[in-house]
Amino acid sequence: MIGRVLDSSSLVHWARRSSPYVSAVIFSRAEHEGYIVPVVTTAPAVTAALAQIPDAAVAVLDALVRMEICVVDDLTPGSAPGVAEVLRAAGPYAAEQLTAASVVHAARRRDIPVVTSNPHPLVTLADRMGIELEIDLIP
Amino acid sequence: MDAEQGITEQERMPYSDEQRERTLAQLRELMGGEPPADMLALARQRDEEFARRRSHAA
Repeated sequence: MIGRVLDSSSLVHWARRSSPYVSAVIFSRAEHEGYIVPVVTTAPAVTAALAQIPDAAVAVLDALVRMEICVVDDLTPGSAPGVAEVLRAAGPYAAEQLTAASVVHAARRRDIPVVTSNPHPLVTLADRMGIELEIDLIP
Repeated sequence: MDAEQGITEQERMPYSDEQRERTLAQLRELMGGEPPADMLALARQRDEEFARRRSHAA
């Protein structure tokens, strides 16, 4: 079993409890025995998700990011060049695509897929980096 | 792929039975139970598909 990167759309669905598939992806990682199969996301994706969920859902998202199975990649001076390399494909839309680039970068670092219900911002960046998008059509 | 590609191995942390049970209990509480069986089966099926593609790409 391999990890998954959750983008902001998946985090929103998790927090709102609105996607059985996202819940299944998380639960099945947690079921793995012996070593942690991570649920990965990024600080920009968490920020974007927090901006889109009601106050009552914040605790659900917070609980996930604090779990031992969850890894949150920060956007730091150290990681900026790697994210910028992904972001280069966005050209003049770089500012708007920063969250998507952080997600694709997190997936590229680990060679694992991204789970999303909103593939549009990710498609060009993921395709260029050879990252698979797992589209959640359930909601 | 860049030099960071080995990160999955670097991040591979031990996961004790106690940690596992605690995490699963927390998830069950947040979810109000376990995810639907068909969704768990779909997640497992996609894991197998990803694993096959990764092994072919290697």
